[in-house]
Amino acid sequence: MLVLLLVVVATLVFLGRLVDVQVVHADALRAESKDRRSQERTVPGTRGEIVDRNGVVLAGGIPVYTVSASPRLAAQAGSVHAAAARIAAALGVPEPGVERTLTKDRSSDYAVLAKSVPLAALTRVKALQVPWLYYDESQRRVYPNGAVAGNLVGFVGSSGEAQAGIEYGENRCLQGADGTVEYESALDGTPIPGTAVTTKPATQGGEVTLTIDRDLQWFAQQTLAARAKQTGAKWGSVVVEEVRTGRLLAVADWPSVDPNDVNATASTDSGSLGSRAFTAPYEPGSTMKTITAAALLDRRLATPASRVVAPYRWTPPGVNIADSETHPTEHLTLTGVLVQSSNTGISRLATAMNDEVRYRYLQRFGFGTPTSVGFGAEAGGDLGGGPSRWDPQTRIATMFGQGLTSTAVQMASAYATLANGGVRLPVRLVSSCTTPDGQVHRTPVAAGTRIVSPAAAKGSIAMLEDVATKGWLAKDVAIPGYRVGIKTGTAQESDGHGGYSKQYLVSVAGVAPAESPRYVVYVDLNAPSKMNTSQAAAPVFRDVMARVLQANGVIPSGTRSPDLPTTW
Amino acid sequence: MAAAALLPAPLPPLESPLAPARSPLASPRVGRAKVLLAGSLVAGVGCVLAAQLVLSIGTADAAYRIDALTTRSVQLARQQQVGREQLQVLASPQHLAAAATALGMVQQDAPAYLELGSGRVLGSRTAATRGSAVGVGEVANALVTGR
Repeated sequence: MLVLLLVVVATLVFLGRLVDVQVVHADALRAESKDRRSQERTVPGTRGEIVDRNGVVLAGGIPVYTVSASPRLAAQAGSVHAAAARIAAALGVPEPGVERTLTKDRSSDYAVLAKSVPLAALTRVKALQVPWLYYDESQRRVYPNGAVAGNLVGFVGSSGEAQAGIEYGENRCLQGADGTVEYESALDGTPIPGTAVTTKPATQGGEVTLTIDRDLQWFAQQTLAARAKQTGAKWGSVVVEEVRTGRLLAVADWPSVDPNDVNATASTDSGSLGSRAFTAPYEPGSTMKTITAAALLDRRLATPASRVVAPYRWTPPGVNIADSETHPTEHLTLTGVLVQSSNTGISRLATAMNDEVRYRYLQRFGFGTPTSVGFGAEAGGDLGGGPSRWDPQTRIATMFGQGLTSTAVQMASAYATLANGGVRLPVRLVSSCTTPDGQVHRTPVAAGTRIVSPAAAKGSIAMLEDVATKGWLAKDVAIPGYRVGIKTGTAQESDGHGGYSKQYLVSVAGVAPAESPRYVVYVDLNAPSKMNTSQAAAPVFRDVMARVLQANGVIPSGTRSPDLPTTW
Repeated sequence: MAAAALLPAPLPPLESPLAPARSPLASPRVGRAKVLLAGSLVAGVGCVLAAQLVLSIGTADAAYRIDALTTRSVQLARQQQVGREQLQVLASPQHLAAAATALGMVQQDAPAYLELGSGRVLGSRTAATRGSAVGVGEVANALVTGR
């Protein structure tokens, strides 16, 4: 009987304790146990790559690691000094720092020993098999091609946040999200196999494909930079557009930024961190004469042979314009006006066109509105408020590219419109976003818009060919075997106070092969101090266009440029 | 104890209680059979326990092996990623152009074409010279110079 009583009492005691553990203090005990044994590890959600049109990686990532330790477990294990020496040697950091971190707070379970540790150093540390060391992986953004397309690709901040360029503009496609894995560890910190549970899955970022050709981009940047330094320019850009698709094959900016080392550029010229070809509008000057001429041809208000008397200076009421160099009054055709780049000639011809109509042509060619690329901080240019706000001088000046502003990409797009038979295609820089599951989301492309008739476009290109063969830069821009059409620009620059400074922006816009144009190259150089004419930009145009034709296997023209009358 | 509980109930007596006493030879035979049965049962249980132990050790060992292989796989993937990046840097135009220049190579940017129909040469007939070449080194790459 006594035995039975004892058994019953013992059973009740055990039962009570069981209820206490399993029910009353269950949550607290579980939490305590979790704190002691459960560890959380971050699984990085890698940021997607940015690649060029051929899949060459322009922005990617490499794994780097944060090595941390549990000073509490290190103290328990003993020989902290010896361990610190071995860890420091493996990490390649000073030993006293490691030991100080390990001994600072011996009750702590978390102390960072080193950040941004490369894989090679991590492998050395892991080989030490120290159970109280922990490794957190993260991704560091790297740009294997350095400053090639650096101004377009942009960069990320130190903690991986997008800051500029495509990195910023396409962040939704590129960004991944970190996940977490929880696992249990033994008392000495060793993870217990099979206990890992994914508490939050990591998501990988998508891949952005650009229309840029990496090799051509490098060549354009290299050529531009060399010439810009030679001529003492402040900045410059080169835009290469594929006529039949509207794709930008190269958008070179100088100075350029190496996204691997942004501070090197930011400290000297923070304005160069973006792409001036998109973001810096300026008065383009004489390259705009081609657009005015195309509008005249389209409205049948002129032909390439239309005659005009072009004096050096022209002063109708409220207007005072002159050509860049003094000359006796000339009898020029419209072609001759472009060849001579006569301000007075184009102005006298273009007064035949209604200002509203001309303004609409400018708008339809894309001036005054950012391109479809939508690059970060892209400018649309300024058309001076339109005819209702133009004073007589501005009304005439807009005919030859003063009194309004445009970007390099806008001007390249306008020339591509003429090269494409008068149909304007949306400019493209981003081809697609490929999600990690392999789905390709192509950037929506709007249909082309006819701006001028095929005849007007063809006539304009023919006149540009005469500029290339008869203009003063004929020798500088000739590419043996190919028919080329160009127009130069030497624009006065605003002094920021309503007047013009003594500095010029020089440019060359051109197409090739002119008999069936495939590429447009536009070059501009801002304030070249050693050569303030478009001759500064001409060799860049020639070299880049020659390279584009060569690299894309364009068959030589085999025919001669037309010989249009320039005078009468 | 468990093994004993599994033993069958004792066999019923073969003869009635009124029958004459069993011969002395019958008792050892029955006892041996019982011992044999109990022994085989204990051995069976032992085998099951041993098998369970072996399986358990094997499973745990495989778990460690899977873990080690998974870690190794991740490690190799990371090594591949780093190697790929190093290759990309070596394939960058800055590195290639510098290497080509060091070998004395120059770029020919005035190509020549042979027109088969007429036998004419279109374009430049002259070879590129050192002076005509596009330079290198104007486009920075911290990953190339930093190595």
